[in-house]
Amino acid sequence: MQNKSLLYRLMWLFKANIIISCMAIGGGYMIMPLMKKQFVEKGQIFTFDELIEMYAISQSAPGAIAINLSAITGYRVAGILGAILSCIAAVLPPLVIISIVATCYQQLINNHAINAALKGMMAAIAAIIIDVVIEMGKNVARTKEPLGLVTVAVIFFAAFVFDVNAILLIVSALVFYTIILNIQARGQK
Amino acid sequence: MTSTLWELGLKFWQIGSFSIGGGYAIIALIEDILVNQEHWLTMKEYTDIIAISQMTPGPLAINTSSFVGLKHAGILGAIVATFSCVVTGVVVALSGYNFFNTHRNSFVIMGVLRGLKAVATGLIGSAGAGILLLSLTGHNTLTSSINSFDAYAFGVMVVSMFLLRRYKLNSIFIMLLGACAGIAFY
Repeated sequence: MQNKSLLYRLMWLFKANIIISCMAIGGGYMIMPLMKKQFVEKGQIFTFDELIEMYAISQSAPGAIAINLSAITGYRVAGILGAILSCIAAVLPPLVIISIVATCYQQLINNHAINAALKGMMAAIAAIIIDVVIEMGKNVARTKEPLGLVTVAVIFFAAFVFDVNAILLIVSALVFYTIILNIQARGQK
Repeated sequence: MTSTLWELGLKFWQIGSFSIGGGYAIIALIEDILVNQEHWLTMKEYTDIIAISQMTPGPLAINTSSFVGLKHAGILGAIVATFSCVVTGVVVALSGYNFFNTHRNSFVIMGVLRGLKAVATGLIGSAGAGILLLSLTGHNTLTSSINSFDAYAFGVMVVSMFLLRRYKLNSIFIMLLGACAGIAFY
């Protein structure tokens, strides 16, 4: 991809982000499997490991993770122009859809068929997210560091079972890792 | 008009800048600013937006900024609100990405990034488990009041999982399949 012309890369980014954004139903987390499909599998622009890295940075910044991730992947593919264009492509579908839906949302919310379809879709979305989490878990396991797997388990239980705030977990992990790694680095000297 | 746009921009910049962690953590923050402080939305409208956000694509913050911007200052308002909402996050995320890229050789900084990747895995795992719990029982957190189990949803989830892992089917198909199954069952 990096040897293609800038215009080609920008157009590719725009298309990919529109597709991803149109399908990101059920909270921002669907972004991970969708980005994986477009950037890692279809476009083969970077590895899944690199995508997880970008996601990790996106979740640590304020604002919607999906938009931050679009900005970083766009930047990776086509610099600052790519980042801006990707963001525009990412916010465009929800903006248009909300503008249309805003006029008739009462009917939509109370429509039986739509609610039934949505219920079935939610179960499918859960499966899609769990599938990508398994892949992410394998990626952590590949480093053969027990600390990584322990972190995944602790964060999962803290967030899911004990409902601990995500910001608190991210900041705690940042502090904890910085201390541990500094001690390790000193030990190696 | 200009003052409305300015107000919209300022408030949505505030929402975008102080919501970290994504997902449903920001519901309370948005409610506080838009419903309680500014009265741009009634509580009923806000719960409706949350309901719409669950059935349409896009993050809640973006859907809310589009809705409120549109309602108060037309299409230009929607654009201003949405832009203000994302600008801080995008700048911080890109700076963070550049920071980690320029420190590829640092043992500590790369280790911290590995830690953040593990955190991301745990958090998405928790979100996936939450959505699963919601579709199976109607509750999205573990509480003692869970007393129902939706066998249809469980069936859809098992079949989807099988198709994804065994045949690597496209997630668009899986979602459509889930939607059709939903219409057939409920």
